[in-house]
Amino acid sequence: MKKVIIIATLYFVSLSLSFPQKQGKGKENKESNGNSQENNNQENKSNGKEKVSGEVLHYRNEPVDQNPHNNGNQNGNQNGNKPKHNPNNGNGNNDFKEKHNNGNHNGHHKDKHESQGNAHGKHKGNLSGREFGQQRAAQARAAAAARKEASKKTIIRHESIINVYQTKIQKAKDKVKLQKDSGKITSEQAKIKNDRINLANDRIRIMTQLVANNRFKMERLDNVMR
Amino acid sequence: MKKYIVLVLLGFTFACSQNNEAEVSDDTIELENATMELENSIENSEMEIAKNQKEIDSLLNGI
Repeated sequence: MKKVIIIATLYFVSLSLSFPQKQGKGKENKESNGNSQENNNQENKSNGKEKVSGEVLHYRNEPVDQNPHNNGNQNGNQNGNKPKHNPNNGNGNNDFKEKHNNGNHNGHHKDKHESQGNAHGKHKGNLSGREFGQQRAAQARAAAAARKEASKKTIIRHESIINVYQTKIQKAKDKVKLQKDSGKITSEQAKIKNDRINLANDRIRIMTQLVANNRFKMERLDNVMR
Repeated sequence: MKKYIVLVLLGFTFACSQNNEAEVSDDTIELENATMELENSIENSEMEIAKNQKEIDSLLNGI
């Protein structure tokens, strides 16, 4: 009987110690495989609740690091002109960068955040799993709201750019027609100019599609937020 | 006997305390992904629109 109890105790202790190790191995595998965002998403959803051990961070920050300018210079992200509303910036992101950093970087920012233990799921600090989940949900909601507002403004700006260029193209069309009618240019010259205008129109269509795509994604975010 | 029972309980408690995984819901993950997707899309379109602007300018130049 005593032996059984001792074995059971040892089993529990070994189980508890092996848990973080398993998570660590999983992280290594995922990093080495170069997983996509969607694949990770599916993996995370498969269990209902995400078991976070830091690997989630990897895919969430991966698109940011795909920028070739970040290679070897971490200041690119910190000093960049584009404001980032991603709550992970400067937290887990730095973890990832540290591994892939080939050159010099300003480590003050990173050290500061690492000491706070904000690498989602990896260093929860004094928080319990549930508290951590609630905190992360709050951060996600705040980031989504900020991103939505910023995107609204960007989309409106892009639409106004498109309008400006549509006007320009219309003016160019009218000008060519006038030149052709008044005999200033030959019909062949008019054709060449109209071809260029048509190419410009194609560019406008591409721009319109981009804006429509952004609108769709913003609406999707809006739906997820509700 | 009591000692062993206490030992087992301690072991069990320790095991449970180690298994303090973060509970992040699917909704949070979905929200984070949607945010990231929108962010990437906006960044991408910023570059594309700037590029197309230049191209249109060069196409209309001289008309």
